[in-house]
Amino acid sequence: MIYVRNGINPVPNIYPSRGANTGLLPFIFEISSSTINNEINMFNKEKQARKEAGLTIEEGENETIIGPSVKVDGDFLSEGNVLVQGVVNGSLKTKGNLRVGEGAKIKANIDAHNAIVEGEVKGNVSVQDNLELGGSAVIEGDIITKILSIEPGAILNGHCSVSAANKAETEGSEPRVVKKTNENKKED
Amino acid sequence: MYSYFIDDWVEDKKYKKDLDKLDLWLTQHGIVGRKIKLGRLHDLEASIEDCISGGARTIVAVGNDSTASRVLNAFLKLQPPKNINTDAAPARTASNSSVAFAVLPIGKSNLISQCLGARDLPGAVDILTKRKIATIDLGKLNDRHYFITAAIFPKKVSLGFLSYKVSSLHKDHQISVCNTNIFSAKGDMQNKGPFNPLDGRLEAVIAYRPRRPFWSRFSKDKSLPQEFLAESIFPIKNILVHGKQKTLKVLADVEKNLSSPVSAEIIPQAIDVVVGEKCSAWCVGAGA
Repeated sequence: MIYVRNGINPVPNIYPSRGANTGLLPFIFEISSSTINNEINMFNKEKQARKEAGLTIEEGENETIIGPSVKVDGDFLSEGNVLVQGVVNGSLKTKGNLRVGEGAKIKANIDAHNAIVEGEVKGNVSVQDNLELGGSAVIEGDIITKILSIEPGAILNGHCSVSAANKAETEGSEPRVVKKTNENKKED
Repeated sequence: MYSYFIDDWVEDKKYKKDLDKLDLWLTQHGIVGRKIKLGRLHDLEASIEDCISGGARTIVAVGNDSTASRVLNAFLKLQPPKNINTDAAPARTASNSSVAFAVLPIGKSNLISQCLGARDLPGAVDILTKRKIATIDLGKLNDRHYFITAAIFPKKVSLGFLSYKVSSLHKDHQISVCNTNIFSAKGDMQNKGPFNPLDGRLEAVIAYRPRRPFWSRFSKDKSLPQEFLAESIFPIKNILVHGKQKTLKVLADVEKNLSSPVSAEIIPQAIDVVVGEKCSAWCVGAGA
């Protein structure tokens, strides 16, 4: 039997009780509230970190939602977060985050800041920061991204280019090498 | 200070009690004003102009959505929207010097008053007494018809954006261009989420009606979905709605026949309206 003092469902760390005053049952376990709070805090921190990295898109944050019974034909452009659950033919570009839900069918080249793909994509995918392929993702096309994570079960048919080259350029930690031109030589 | 525009059907026997109560409440709250009865051939613009020149600061439509829409459109012909330039950022300030618009709901179909925070007549009188003002956006159809809530289009239309076209794969769907939230359950008409009449944009929405099981026809269970649910949302500033027929029957506060394609655009911060306290979710910066 699991005895929970603060009413929260117990999950991982269960410690034997110390000085529990019930006395009737032979083994009573209790979970200290601090342990649960630590677990919750850790989970929240992880969630926050993933959110900051653009790896999670919560439902309320989507500005544009393409539902499961909707078909979009043409060059779709957006400046905010986009959730695709339906059909898109043409091209799909957004300056925000993109989430391709399970069951979505996209026949288009994709360009986004961050993306989570759980549906079917036929086309090239270009993501500036993080690209996450879910277990149900099917991609037939090339991928260009900075950070890529793939869940087991995802299908990828195409070339894949993952590099942090853009990051080094934007950060500008080292000065660029300036080549001397003929004009500069004359001035010297 | 207050001018009341009462629709002619409100004087029906059915609503006599409501009108008598309204008279009493207005007297008790000290907000009695000039009352104008609207007939079919009534020159509404001349009446509103007369009231404003006589010092009226609040134009009140007494009736349903149709009454409110009629008064609103006549009012906007006299006092064109403040901000015609759609690119201007919303400043969210209310000017107390200008004339405000309010609605007192009587009868059925009172979506406008619900969106402005009044569920019933006594609540609307309270709101009118407090006179909290917010400057909200308006939608405009075919460059002449204004609406507060949403323009609901018939079936078999498609949404034409600048570079792409959106169509529904469902047969039983509803396409609408919304300024406020019309998809909330009745009695909870808060403008949460993307539907905000202060954000300077409209939302093109494709909604569907969930299939109900056969036995639910005989059930009195009200929790079962009967209304349309918003499925796809596209934030826009202007849009063209293409129909297969030459004219489209559009329900934009009131039913209108408009020539296809229908253009819908946002007029940010177009009008001062009297809103309830519960609209505080979207009435940021609304002055009393």
